[in-house]
Amino acid sequence: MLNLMKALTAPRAISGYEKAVSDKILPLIAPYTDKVWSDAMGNLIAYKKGTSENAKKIMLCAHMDEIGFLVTHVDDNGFIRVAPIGGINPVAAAFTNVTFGGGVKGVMVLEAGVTPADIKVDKLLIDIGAKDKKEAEKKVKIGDYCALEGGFTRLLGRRIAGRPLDDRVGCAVLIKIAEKLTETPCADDVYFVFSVQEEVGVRGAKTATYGIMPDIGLAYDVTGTGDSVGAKPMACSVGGGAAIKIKDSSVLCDRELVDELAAVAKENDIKHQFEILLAGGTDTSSMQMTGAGCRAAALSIPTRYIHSGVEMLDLNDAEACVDLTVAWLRK
Amino acid sequence: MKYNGIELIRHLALAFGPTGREDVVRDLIAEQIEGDCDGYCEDRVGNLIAKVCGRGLDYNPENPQRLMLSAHMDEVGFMIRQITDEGYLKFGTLGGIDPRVLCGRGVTIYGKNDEAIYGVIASKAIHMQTAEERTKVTPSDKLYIDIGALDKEDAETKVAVGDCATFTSDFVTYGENGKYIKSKALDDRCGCAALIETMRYLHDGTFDLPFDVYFAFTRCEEIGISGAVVAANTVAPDYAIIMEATAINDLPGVSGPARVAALGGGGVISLVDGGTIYDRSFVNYALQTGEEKGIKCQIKQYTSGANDARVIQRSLTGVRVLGLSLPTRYIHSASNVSTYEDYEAYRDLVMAMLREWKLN
Repeated sequence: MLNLMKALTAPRAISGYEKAVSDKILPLIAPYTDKVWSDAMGNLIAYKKGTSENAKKIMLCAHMDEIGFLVTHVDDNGFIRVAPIGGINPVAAAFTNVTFGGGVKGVMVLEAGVTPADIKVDKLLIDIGAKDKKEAEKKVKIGDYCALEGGFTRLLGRRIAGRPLDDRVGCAVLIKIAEKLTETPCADDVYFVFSVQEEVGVRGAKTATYGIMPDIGLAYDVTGTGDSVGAKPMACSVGGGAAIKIKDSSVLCDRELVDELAAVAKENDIKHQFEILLAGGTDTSSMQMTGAGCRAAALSIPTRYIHSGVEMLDLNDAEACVDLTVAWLRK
Repeated sequence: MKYNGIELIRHLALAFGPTGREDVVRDLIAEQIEGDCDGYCEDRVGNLIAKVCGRGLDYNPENPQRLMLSAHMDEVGFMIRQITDEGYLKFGTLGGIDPRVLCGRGVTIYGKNDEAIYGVIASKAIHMQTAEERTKVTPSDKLYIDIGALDKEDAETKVAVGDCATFTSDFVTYGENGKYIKSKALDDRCGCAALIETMRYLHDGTFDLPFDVYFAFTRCEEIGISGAVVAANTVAPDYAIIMEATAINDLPGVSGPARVAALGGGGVISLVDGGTIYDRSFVNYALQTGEEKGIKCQIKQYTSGANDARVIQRSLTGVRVLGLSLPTRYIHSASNVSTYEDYEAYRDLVMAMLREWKLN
């Protein structure tokens, strides 16, 4: 899991520009599945045929995109202005290293004199060390994308902090599930969907779901927790196991499916907890409401400091999500 | 009577078509495209959809690819909500209109039997305003339309609650060689005009066309309910180009990214806006076509607002979308200002992209 996370957090791929991650995932998922393709929006879909004649269609979905910025302007002195893509926290973005899609490095800084209370996205700018506009434009042009530098640090135990763990950890979970299913195949058809444009409003999962028309959909994403200092009350913590989603602001999960997942976790002694997320949506809602609808739920990886450069989670929780899914699929 | 170029824009822009009352514009478009396509129909929600069939070696008639061009027929306007005892009309706006551009404007209401009724958006003369009132903007729900009625009963012989209105407008060309165009509803009748002219170009041309091209003239864009979603579900296109008008801010004292785009720079290509992240390969293809053919185009430097691309992209199994807009000053007012050269560049870019289709 650790090596997989290293590989998956390396490329920069903001919403709408997911190809670098898609290219990375393709050779990792292909050996475990029967067919892999991309749709018009760029969702990467891998299909594994089930053993049953009356196989149901099960869609497992994690998003490839991360939040970031698009270049909107280069000024005469070579400073670069950007537009936010996704839920940027400008405080977390100020004074960080950034990497552009093409590999150019820069630092994201604030206009001089901005007080902490006035930190907003339009006060942010990027310095790539250019002498002037002309030199800057040789390296970076309008429409290029960038994001805070990727990668993570190992903390105590099996905890890691870095970015973008949201939602490369979900992608890693899907790949691990596919790997484990090669040992004991599953009766149902499984579609592994690596979706695009989740961070800008759960967009890609809609078209992927329409193409698949699943019976059951499960999303894999990070969730907020109640265990950081000053957090709102929430009975979900890092290290507490796979978080079985009951609701977030976009969805009320299928209750029978939630109960079924909880029962499987209990039976197999897999560490789990429940998640009721008050703010934030996931691909779960897109799956639930596309076409004629499907039964949808989600397994979340509890994560502190989401959308910062130091998102923090416990790999044991991610592995609990893998184990729970595999146990549920084999049932 | 068929029109071309600026005359086509004039007739389309002056036609009555606030959101929800697109029938006049639709009839005009139907008249203009008669014989210039391989068939057209009105769908269940009132979008007009026309088709030009593909041809040539790369066209697969068994399982054709489909490209959809779309432009919305509706314009911002007003709807009558109440008639006062004195015979004044209280109204709501259809689409986002700045209340500061309303006072003193002439409006045209389609009243009883679709008779055009002239009215004026009334305002308190500056002489009667208190010092405080002078510094405040009157919200549109505090304004009313004066149609010269004696009282409620008299007004009700002409108009009813639910009737719609638009800004009354002329169509003026001004500036050097008359290059600037001023009218209501350039947003998005210029898009409709570009679709019609592209349709004629494709229909009359003998060059290959690797896909069927559909032209969707859509309803209800301005209030966000987007008839375009129905058109996209019906056509199920592989590609879509959304022809729009975009607000720009190339005004004195505005510099850098806040300008968005400029008049004279050609069609505005969107990378991202409030509703859509556009297909980057499609964007690059448009930029490359512009460069190769010497057709001006520019990238939008701002990311707010949204259009029909939002729903078209996410319809069915997904559609690869390009947003191309005519730069327009003072959008959503009675005086949209664009230039004819930008219109030509915007139209010709699409024609050039379709004529020698090279997007993989």
